[in-house]
Amino acid sequence: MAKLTIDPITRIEGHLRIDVEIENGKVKDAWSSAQLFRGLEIILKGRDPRDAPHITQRACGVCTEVHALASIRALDDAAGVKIPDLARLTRNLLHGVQFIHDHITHFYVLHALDWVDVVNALQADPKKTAALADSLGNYPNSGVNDFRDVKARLQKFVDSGQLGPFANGYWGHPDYRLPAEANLLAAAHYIEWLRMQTRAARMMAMLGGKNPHVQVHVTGGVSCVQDVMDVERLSEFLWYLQAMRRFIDNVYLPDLLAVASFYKDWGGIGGTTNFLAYGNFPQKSGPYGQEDMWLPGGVIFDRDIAKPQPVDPARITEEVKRAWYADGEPRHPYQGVTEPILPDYDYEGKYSFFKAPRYEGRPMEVGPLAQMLMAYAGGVAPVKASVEAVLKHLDIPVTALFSTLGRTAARAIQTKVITDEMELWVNQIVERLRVGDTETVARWQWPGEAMGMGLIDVPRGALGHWVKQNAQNRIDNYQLVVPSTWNLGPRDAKGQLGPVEESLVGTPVADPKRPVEILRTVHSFDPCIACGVHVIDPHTNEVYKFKVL
Amino acid sequence: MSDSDKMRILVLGVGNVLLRDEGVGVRVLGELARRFAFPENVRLVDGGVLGLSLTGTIMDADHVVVIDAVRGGKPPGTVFRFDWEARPDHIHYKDSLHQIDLMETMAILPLLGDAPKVTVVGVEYEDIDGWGLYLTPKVEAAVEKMIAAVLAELDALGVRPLARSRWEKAPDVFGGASQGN
Repeated sequence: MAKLTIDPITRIEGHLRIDVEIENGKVKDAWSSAQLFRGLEIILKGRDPRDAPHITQRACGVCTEVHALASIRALDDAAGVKIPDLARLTRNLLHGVQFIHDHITHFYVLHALDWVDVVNALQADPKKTAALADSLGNYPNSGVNDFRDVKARLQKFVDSGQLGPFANGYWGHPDYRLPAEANLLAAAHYIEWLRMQTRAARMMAMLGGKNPHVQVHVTGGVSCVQDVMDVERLSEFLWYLQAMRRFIDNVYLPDLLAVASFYKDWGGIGGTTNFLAYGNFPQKSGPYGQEDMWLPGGVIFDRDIAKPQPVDPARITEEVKRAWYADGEPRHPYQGVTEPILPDYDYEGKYSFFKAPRYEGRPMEVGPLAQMLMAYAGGVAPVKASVEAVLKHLDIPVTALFSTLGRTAARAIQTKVITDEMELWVNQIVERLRVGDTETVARWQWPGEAMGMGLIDVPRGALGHWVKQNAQNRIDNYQLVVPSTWNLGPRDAKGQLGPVEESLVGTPVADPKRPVEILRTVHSFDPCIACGVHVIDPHTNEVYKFKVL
Repeated sequence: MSDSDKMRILVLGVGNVLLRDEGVGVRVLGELARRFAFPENVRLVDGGVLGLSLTGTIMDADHVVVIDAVRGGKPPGTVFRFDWEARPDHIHYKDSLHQIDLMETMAILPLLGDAPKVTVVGVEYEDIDGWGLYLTPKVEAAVEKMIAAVLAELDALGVRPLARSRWEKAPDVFGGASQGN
């Protein structure tokens, strides 16, 4: 029995530690631990609720925008305000941009290196790489000379010894399976996306005022009046959107399929059991549950996609039995308390700063896979078509979706369907303007004592903000239950493992000193929290400690 | 119009102002903006704690001067100046919470081709773990030296800023980092 600790896990945001117990080359047990206490809830108490979107949005510099949106929805809900169409569409567009930026950056920058051996790309033949690129998609800069150029730059980069984010990788690990040409192609596209992602950031700034951290969400609507009403601005946005679509259709999706075809067995590794999505992209304005979400929310238990159930927010609780908080009963976020205690890691007791969120007492996976399963089960046409096309292309069954491979594929499918749909929303804004509808903010009044919730699906999963304000219109209690808590939370009082812990059990690990397999599954959740590895050799009790890329 | 007028220069102050010496880059940048008026080809940007998000801003420049706290094993308050390309092995960037931080971002820039030339004006920090908006005394004492080092860097690029009067309003260097307009 060998115990392996990866602390911190890199290529994610923040501090995450993963411990696994390995027996006979497979993971037998796993512990996921958040090593950072934030205390945003404590900061917000007693403030004007209108501060909340700005403060909570700073929880992260990567998934920006999402907290502002969830927070403003909670304020809208507390004030009982219905936002105008233009505001709804603008919020949808901004949120769509966040999905594009987050998902593609995750695939190329944070996740691809688990499957792609960049150093091996130096063995590639540029001519064959160009032929491979042609067979997969139609994209500029994909000629022999382009790949020769990328290879030369990569060579120079590797020779410099300053590997930056490629340092400490497991290059040369036997389970890297791509031919050198595919590795070079992926490296070229990694570079291409680094260029392209600055455009995604620009798109957000066009309508959101700036990136990261949009400034335009106000109670009752949006404040980017001049941009929404400026047809030139909208055309510019559309032009960038087309560039994103070209990249997704000709680069991202073909790359995903090409890489996946070498790793089909990962369609049977890293799955979980229950799924939760809140839904997103409202098609009409209204209180929670009446917004007619384009991508539906829902709950799936025991992988039964034939029977998705609606989400009842009252059934959400958080418990702290195994977390570094003062003990108490499982509580609904409205009654949530945040009393941190000194962290003292104990495998048998408390071991994380994450609470354990549960729905009807059960752990739930959230994120692109959960969201796409709901849309697939709910018959959302483009999702159904894309999922079926991917399954057919890879020749794998629907059950292969419940896996590390399925999760990563779902993220790409979701990026495509959202990007395609966004064009329609831009046109709907133009339509509204054409008929003289220029309302961007609804009138509202301070509600006094009130509660509000903002539940929305974001790139990493189900995000909930709950606000309780008093008669003086000040925040009494504010709780966030964020996607990574659902996915990476610890065990609960019943001993049920959190989703990532569960997904790791059974994962084959060829070489405990280079646990690339663990990283594949952990990264597939796109955790938003950093990790290095101590491996305890049971025979010598020797601890290896090193950083993992 | 000389070449130096056309060269796009970015002065990038980075760091977290909540963590004492961590914020020295932003502090020096603010002082520069307050005291001097720069020609149009010089952009002053507060990069905060961003990494990858700064790619666009950095790639839009021909020459970048980064101002930040560094770890070089010298006494706190020691001011460094080095070319990023030829950065000495013993100089380390601080650890950032973000795994793709500015250092990693700058490391991969050469992969994108035509990356700008980057020079770093850094200062050995004393405290970047404690909470506080104020610099430690030794680093505070180095601020003037850092300003002079940045000005010397710009001077070598042919940039001569004009001193502002005390009554003139300084530009806003905070925000809009990736708007690109």
